[in-house]
Amino acid sequence: MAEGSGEGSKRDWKSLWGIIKNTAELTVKPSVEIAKDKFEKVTLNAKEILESSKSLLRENVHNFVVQTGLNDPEKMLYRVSRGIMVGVTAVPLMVAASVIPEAFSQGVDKGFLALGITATRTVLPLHAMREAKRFINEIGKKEQ
Amino acid sequence: MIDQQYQKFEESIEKLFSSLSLESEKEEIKKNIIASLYFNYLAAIMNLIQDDSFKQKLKNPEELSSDDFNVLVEEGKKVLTGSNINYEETFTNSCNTVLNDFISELEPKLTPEKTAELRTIIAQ
Repeated sequence: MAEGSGEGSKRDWKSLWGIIKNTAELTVKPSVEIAKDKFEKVTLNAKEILESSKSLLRENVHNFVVQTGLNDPEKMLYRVSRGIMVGVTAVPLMVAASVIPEAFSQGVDKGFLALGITATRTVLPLHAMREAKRFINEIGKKEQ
Repeated sequence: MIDQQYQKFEESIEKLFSSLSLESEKEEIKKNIIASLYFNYLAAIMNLIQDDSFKQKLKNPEELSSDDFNVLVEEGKKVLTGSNINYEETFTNSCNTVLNDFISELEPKLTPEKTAELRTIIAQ
């Protein structure tokens, strides 16, 4: 009787495990799939995010060129190639910083305005200039 | 203060990266976003300058010598010191615009929930 109960118990556990397993497959698996689906949607490839950031920069360079009236690609390219544009874009930041003493007190490496003051020496504006040049070249190619 | 606002901008970028589980290309992406702010803010300031003759000089710098350039900077100081441009507000607007535009660039590839989460991060 005791053995029988043991066998019965084993069978019961097997059945119970089967029920649990089936239930898990029915209930958990779809949830996992949904989660995976969501995860894949939100975890963008780094390259995709990089492309989005390039697109953002291109858009801002475009707006800068158009809004400031520097919309002659040939002239702009000429200026960029002479490195003058780096200085010119630094001017508003330099003068802006000069009227905000706090920007100076924070030191050259802290703060955006201070960064603007060292525009000709920092990697960021040079990077921005390279992007501007690339953008202008693209305009040139489209116009040809 | 503009300096604090810039710090907040950089922190927001880091939070966005974290939320997007971004592991690689971080520096290049960050550089592009900050360069975008650079252009956005410059364009905003240039648009707020009322002195047309000064603006014209900024737009036509081909014949500037180094000395001329220094003179132009000095003139710029006077022009902008005398203006009523609110730099803090302009800078804050540029920060918000650039971050929101970055999310808009990503939006087509995100779930609405994730987009909302990213926008909440930059609104903080």
